[in-house]
Amino acid sequence: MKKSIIALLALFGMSLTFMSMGTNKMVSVKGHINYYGNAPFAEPAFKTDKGEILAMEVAPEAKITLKEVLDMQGHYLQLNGKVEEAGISDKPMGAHAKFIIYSYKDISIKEKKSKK
Amino acid sequence: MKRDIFYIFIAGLILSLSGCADFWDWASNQSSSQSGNSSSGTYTPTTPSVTYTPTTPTETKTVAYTSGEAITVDTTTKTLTVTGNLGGKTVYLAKTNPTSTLIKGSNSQAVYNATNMKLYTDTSNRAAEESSEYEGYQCASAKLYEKYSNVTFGTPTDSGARAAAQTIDRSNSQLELVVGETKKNIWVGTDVNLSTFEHLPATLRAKGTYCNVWVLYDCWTDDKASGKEINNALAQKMASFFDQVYALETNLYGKESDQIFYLTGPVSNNLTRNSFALEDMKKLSNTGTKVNLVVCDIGADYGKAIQSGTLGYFTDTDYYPDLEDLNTMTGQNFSKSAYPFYHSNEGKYLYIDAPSCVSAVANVMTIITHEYQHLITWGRKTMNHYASKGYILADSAYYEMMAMVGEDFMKEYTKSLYSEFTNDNTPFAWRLPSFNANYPLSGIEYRNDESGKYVSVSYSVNYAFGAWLARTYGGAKLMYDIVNNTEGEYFSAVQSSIEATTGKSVSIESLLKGFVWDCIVSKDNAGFRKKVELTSTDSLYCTDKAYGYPLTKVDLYNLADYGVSTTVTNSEGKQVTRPGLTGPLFLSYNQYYTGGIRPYGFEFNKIGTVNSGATSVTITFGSNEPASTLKAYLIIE
Repeated sequence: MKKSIIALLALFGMSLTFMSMGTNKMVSVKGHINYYGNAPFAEPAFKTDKGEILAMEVAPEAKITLKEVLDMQGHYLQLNGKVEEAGISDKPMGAHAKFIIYSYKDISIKEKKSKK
Repeated sequence: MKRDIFYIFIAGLILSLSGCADFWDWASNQSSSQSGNSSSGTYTPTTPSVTYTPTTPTETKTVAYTSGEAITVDTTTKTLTVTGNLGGKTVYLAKTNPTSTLIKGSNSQAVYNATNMKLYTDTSNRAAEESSEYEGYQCASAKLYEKYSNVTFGTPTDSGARAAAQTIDRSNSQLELVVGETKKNIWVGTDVNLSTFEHLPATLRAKGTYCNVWVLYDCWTDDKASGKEINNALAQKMASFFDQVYALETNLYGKESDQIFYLTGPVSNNLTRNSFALEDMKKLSNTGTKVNLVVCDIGADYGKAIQSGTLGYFTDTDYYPDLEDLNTMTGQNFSKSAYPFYHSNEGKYLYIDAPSCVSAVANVMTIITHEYQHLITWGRKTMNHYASKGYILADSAYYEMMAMVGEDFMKEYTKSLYSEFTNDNTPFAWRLPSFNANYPLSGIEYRNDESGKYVSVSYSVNYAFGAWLARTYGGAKLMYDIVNNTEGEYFSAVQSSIEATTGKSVSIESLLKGFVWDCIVSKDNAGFRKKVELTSTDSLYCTDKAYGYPLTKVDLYNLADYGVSTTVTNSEGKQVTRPGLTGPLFLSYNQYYTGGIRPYGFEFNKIGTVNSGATSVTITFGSNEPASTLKAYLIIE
């Protein structure tokens, strides 16, 4: 009986580990908001430091809105979330992937260390 | 044993949580998750974002003045003494941001004091200021192409097989084009955000060698043009003018794409950007490769209080199959909500706002010139390189800069052809006063927000930069290369083309330095005031029209000389002096814009005029902590 419990608990722990290592991982990307295509159909996207262009969507459970993120145009941002393949409806057309945003951080300024 | 169980359980949890928190570098792994044309956009951006560090200026420096050279002001400089024959000269401070990261106002440089000069405190060129805060500054009235369409579409769904996939080939079933008789339903945007499209009937009303003019039923009259109804004379003028522009623009940039996105057979997975192949446009388009001008009431806003603000548009949607053809070619049953290109008209289409053309016929020329340039850029930047480079996405700022410089190239020809077309219909009038008055609100970028209030300033800054760029680095040859190279990123495209056409390697920092110099120092045959024109022996010279694409001098300090109207109506309906006619805004000696310096933006201070006979000035900077990325220059003239 005890061995069964041990085995079950071990299995439970390992399954949690493997689940977390699945493809749908949380990742972070750094870059800025940029617009693509001619007006009046210009579309915002996230341009990473490596040149990838990501369509953006805010996760339903996130405590932010897409407008809030777009209002950060001009700031150097770190987005935290998940990457998905961009579908035909994800804008702008031609984006390398879609980023599901859970949170973001403004990393524009590196504050100086205060002198003691 | 209980302890063993506990340890195993805890170990599992720790492993689990560490996996969740493993923020891996997606970018370095993304190549394995992409398929098909994942090579697209592999260009390395020359403009990565940066984190900057505020610096504390502490250094004292002395430099000798050399005429015609800007003096670089390091962010660490607290006190700067300039020596030389300075009496009577004016001292300016130009601050630039050569990065994509906004520099906060408090991280901009600001002068605290300066000796041996009369300090500048006058900001009288802020004539239309309605608030003591710069943010309240009244921007020049928005005109063209200024709405961001907040379109949302549903999640892609495929509700199952419908029928066997079939190929479509309309090469031999083209529409018979008979003026006054041939009818066709055309998708047009019918709300002010251009997020709703309706399939409305139109009649062919004129034909040119290279175009068809379709007029929606409710925008046509057999009588005198009025309201939103155009007549035969106006339709003929559109066709005739398009043929002129076609010859000039294709000679300059190259022809637009004659291909269209196409599908053969079912789509196994989700429909993505990689699902499409290219085919001859005639396979889907029943109007072949001619350009269709669609005259309609864009946004269905005629006579309404809320206007779309859009006088014309081009959409790359028309380079995709429409919903019916998509479903025929795939044998699947995609829904309208699942397919954003459902409203494709399948071919080359430009949309022209009828009421705008009735009220001012010169708008016809402006709209056609601008929108056709978009059509060419889309074809040559994205379609032409799709097979080899994948889907190249081009910056919005790049698109609009190119189209406005295109207007610049065509303006002299258009003026010579149509008396109703004057400088008041060119970006000289539409954009330069706003650039002079409002440039701190936007860098060389497409700045947008929900209100859309910054977009028109972005247009102005982008045009001013493009006008300077074209005049400084070779005019037509440079712009040809920018349209045709494989860079979608604004500065990558510009830098690559400057190197290709002049052999010079330029950084963004040096481009901005040259630009701000020429904004401040206004001398004949230099910078903005340089006239550029091709000679008849040049390969890009338009022999058919005997036209060398002249770019006439731009004098930012005398815009009224171009016939630009000198008054504008403010938000209270009062006529006020138009701001920005007499040069760029100069903040007073100790000011800085609290909104900061935008990405690829700049800010000008006039520090003061040096006392007669003085041989040195000392400038002390204030308590701001300049960003490590800030590049500032003293310009003394």
